[in-house]
Amino acid sequence: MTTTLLNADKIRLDGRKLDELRPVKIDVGVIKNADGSALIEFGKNKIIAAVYGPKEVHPRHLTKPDRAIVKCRYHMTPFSTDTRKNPSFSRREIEISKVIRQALEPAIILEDYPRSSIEVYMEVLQSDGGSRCAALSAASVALADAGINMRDLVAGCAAGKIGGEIVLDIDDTEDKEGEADMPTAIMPSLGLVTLFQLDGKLSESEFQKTFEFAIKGCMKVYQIQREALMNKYFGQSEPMQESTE
Amino acid sequence: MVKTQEKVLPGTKLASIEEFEGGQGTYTRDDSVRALLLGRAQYDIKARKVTIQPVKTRSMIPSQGDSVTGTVEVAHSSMLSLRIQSVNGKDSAAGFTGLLLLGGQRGRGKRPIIGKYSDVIRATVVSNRNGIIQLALKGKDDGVLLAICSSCGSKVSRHGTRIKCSFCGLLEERGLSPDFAA
Repeated sequence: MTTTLLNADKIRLDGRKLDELRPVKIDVGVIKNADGSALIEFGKNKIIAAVYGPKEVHPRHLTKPDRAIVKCRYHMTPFSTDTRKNPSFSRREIEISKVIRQALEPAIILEDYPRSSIEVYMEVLQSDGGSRCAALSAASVALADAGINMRDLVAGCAAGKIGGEIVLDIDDTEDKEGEADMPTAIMPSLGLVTLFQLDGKLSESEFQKTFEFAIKGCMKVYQIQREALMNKYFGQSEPMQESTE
Repeated sequence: MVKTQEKVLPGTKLASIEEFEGGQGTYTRDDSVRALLLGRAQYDIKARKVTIQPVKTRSMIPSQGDSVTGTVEVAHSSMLSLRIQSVNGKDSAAGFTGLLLLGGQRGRGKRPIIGKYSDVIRATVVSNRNGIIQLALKGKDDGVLLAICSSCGSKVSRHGTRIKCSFCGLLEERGLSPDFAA
């Protein structure tokens, strides 16, 4: 049985329009013992990210003499899904940990911390599709909260295709029943893409539109990241000081 | 003249390279000076330099001139390896290791015994080149802060410039700090 993902008015199952993001909320500094932390609520996703470091590398043979290494751990709690998830690391979690690390590394000035490691832990408390982009966005805020030297924040958002239409920010049902999913992350101020994946098939024009939607979503997430950090440290949010490139 | 108070996030464009030179907490990319950290941008109009005053200051990697306290993990005749536990009086959980090279010339007399395994030592960072934290007992308060008897593990007390075990009576040499506590 297939689910109808769009109604006649092109409204999605959860009542969103095609280009509408789920409600996003970010709290900064939620974990006292971490150097930096953030809690993101991305629709029904709830993810905590914590950053430790720069610290000594263990095991020591992983040490790089000229730069820091980034260790990422994306993990889903057993109660994060509708049926209990085995708490041990799955192939998917290992893959997502890797892609998040690769998405964060270009943003961190690793050369400023030789012979050290920066550890990023992301714990998914509740998942509802798009958790890698949400975790990545929370991790980026946690890194900034930890005072790590960064070229830019990293904001992530997915776009995709459901019922023949290109949509922004697909949730779990849309991911499973839909035709394509494109998780994307960017460094908004620099205009650089740090994560790009595509699951499904798209024509050239659809690809272009999906990518534009994903970038648009990332910019919205960036604005929320920015407001969260400004609120935490300056007690107020500020309008964007510059147009992004 | 310094104009301050512009709140910035990592990546925020501060100025073009023709206008300002990038200082601490900034980096240059293409033709722009950008912020590395969350903080307040300070523009020195006279020196044409922009720096970032970070909102979150905390001890990270120990740098030259910092006073660190650590426990001896490895003790050789020529050097001690310290697991650093505090930097400038602030606790550090980062677990960095510092190397304290001991004085004296090879083959010419006996090297002084500064510390032994498990001693707590205060030292000054003299170099952090290539990420290797090199320490020296340069500060007036530097030296062994806490020690136990290397023979029986009992408490020791100061005995002139040496320490004496309260249980076995062993006299040992150490480079004691003025703040040494038994």
